[in-house]
Amino acid sequence: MNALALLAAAALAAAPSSNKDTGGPVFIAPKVGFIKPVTSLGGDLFLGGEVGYLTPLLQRRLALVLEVNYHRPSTSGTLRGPQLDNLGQPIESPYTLAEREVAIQLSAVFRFPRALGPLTPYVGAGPGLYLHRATVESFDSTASESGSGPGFQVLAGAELPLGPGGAFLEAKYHFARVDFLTTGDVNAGAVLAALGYRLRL
Amino acid sequence: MRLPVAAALLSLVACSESTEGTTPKLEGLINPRQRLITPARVCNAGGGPSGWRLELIGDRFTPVPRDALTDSPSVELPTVSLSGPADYTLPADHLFFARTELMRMDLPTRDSTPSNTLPPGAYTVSVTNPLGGTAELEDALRVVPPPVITTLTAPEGFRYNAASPLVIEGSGFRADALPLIVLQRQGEEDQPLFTVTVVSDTRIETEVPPATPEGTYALTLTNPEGCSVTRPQALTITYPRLGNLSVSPASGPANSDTVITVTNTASGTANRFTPGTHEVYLVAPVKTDPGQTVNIPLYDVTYVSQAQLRATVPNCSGFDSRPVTDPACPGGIVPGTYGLIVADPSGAFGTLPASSGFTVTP
Repeated sequence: MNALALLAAAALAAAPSSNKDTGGPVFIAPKVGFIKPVTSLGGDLFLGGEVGYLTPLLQRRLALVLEVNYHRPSTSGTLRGPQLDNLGQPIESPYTLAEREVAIQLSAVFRFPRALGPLTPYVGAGPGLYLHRATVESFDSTASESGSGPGFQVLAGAELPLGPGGAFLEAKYHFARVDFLTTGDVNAGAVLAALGYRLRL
Repeated sequence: MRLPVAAALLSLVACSESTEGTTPKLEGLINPRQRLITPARVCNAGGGPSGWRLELIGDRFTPVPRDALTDSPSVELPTVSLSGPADYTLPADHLFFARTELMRMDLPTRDSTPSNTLPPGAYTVSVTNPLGGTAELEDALRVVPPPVITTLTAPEGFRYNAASPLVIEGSGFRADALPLIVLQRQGEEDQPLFTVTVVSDTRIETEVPPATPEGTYALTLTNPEGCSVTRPQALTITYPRLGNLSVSPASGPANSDTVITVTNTASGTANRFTPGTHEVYLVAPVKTDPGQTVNIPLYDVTYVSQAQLRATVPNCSGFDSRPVTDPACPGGIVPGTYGLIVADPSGAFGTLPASSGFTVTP
């Protein structure tokens, strides 16, 4: 957070005073993208939505954003091992493991209004609550484990004014540890790229 | 008010952890040595380094991947637990998955590594799928102790011509299923005892077969569920002896059976012939299997006196039914000089070595 404050101060000093955000302080934005977990889970579609409030702080450049997003990457493999044995004949069976994650993220986002021509870049970070559900399918059966834990995310993006709001492109990384029997104790976090439209209210 | 409620709900969601999975079905356990015995019995000793292998029969046994997103993925099998006179959870490496309807487990015993001596009794067996439910089967397994032999007696001594009763006393005998009892001697084939009666779990009555070679034997008793006990030098078999035997005439042609007289010259503790049914054998090969020396019974054995028997050597007929019409005597005795064995109804026996035995001439 110290780094974020420094960044904000630097941005305040550098930004032309005329480049102020206009419009209401509340915004909402649906977003869609592609996510790739840092584990062996495959890439997946990312869906999310955010509600933000542009605070009067730092010349209305600091926003608080609450985001809820969803993704369900999966991986597949083969069950094999010394305990899978039928009188000396090895037994193998395919399996699929999916890790559904619903993230509730609260981020402080600092915006640089029209710092790049019409574009408004922004950066942000914050904590999140990550709800995990790992589902495994093997031997024609389905089993799952559910749990949740804290994590954090950092993000950066750029918004282009369009109509009553702005279209944006955003990149994000989040860290979320999960420790299920099927997954093991790993960081189920991911990097993602998303497109969305932010509507100012 | 709304904010605290939402916060409470959120914290509840955040803290809750749950699993959902398939509940297995356990139908029974099988000891492969006694497939038809229900509930399965298993001995709490023996079984080799891994213990006794048992089969778990059921449905929906479901292994799942373990640590699949780490660098060391493995497989998590269902867990198997026993509860009864003692509680026990099977080590994971003692369970083997064959298919969703069949798993095998190596149940540790007193003599396995690691060892675990389950107290005898009836056990409830439960199988729990990883992430799933538990199936439980009451009285699915009976743990029994190994057999122990304390005394071994042949109350009537040993007879060459008939089975000799043998009484085994000890503990851990199975009255509901017959054990396997064998006599063992270095360099000899194991001699199983076929007539076995389990009188109680502490007493077995059996018989040593007639003509079992003299000598000192170890006795191994194996219960049907697998446990066995061996008593070394358990039994020394000796028979009463007849006197010196001779035969006259000492030879006969291969193409006709020969009537002979066997003379018993008894002195000292040697036994004379006694009235009754005698058995006399020529130890020789027959033409149908010339490489195999067998005991060929003489026929028309007649008791003449305490010193003499009369019998007919089947030079031509061998084991064939008489009369033999083929002059080539295809089942007859291979020409040569052979020894004889004489069994007296008293249980005594005598032998005539081949060097001074009966000669079948070509």
